[in-house]
Amino acid sequence: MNTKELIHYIAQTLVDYPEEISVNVIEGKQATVFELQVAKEDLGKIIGKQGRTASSIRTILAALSAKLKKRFVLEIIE
Amino acid sequence: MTKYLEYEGKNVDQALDKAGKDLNISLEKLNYDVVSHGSSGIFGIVGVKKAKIRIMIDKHEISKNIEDEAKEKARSLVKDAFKIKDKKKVPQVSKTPRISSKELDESVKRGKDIISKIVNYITSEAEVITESSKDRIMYKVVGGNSGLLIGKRGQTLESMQYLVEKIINKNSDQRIRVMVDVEGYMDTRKANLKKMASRMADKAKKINKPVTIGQMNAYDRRIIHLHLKDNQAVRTQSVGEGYYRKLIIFPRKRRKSGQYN
Repeated sequence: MNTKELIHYIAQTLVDYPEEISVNVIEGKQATVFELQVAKEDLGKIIGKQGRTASSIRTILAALSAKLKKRFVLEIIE
Repeated sequence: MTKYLEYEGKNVDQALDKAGKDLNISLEKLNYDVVSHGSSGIFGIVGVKKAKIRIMIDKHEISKNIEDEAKEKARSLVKDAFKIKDKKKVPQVSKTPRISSKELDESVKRGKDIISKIVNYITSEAEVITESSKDRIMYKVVGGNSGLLIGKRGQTLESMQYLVEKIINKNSDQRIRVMVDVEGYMDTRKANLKKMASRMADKAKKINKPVTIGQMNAYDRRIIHLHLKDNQAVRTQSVGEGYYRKLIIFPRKRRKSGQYN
């Protein structure tokens, strides 16, 4: 199991249309960017009120990156 | 034997009409006093007062009427009461299954799956223990790298708690509270918050000015409010919205505190 799967899993549990989720990984030298794409109707659910859900996911990613000594960036794509 | 009855209406005429209808007496025969004329207030909104009249009646004349009336009224009252009860019962019945233990168990299990998955990504050899009551679930994470799991100022912990609560309550309108604790961090934090609250209350009392504590989430504020509730020297209040909401501790006026002593 890797980070991509974790993001996919968390997104899956939050949205109404889990089959429309896709996570795109772009590996860089310093940071790894995860592009999360969900159905248009689910965008709000992923972002949350005042971006709270999005920042929660990012915080968990930050905890992960501390362990793996890597930088993770989560982008939510419209 | 005379009896007095009071009737109300928008104005005196209306009250009279009502009385006449109720008692089956023609208006000319009514013997009445005007208690208050009433007023329509300003634009009929502010200061509306009803007119009140008092009617004197010879009991023998209409006692029968009144008795019948009373019986009728009692009957309709009972009917109404039952109607209300019936109405009240319906939503209650539909409410109870929402907190059914089966659903709760399912939520607990779903939450545990998510929590243990996230926890096991972040660290290894951690175990999740669950405790649940009626509308509350508590997840305790034991073992593993607790520092990572808690995060800076409990950030990671809070995020996990928020996400799990959101996921569990996604498909229901009933809200189940979720708490996540790593190695007793929450208790330590609670104790720290209480200590700080007491310190701030003392400060407010000493300088006799309000003291502000900002940057807290709702749960933290709640702890402080509850902690300082019984402190007679201060009063607490939260002001502001969302991110900028802060808690203010006001010192109580001397005079007032004197009353308590």
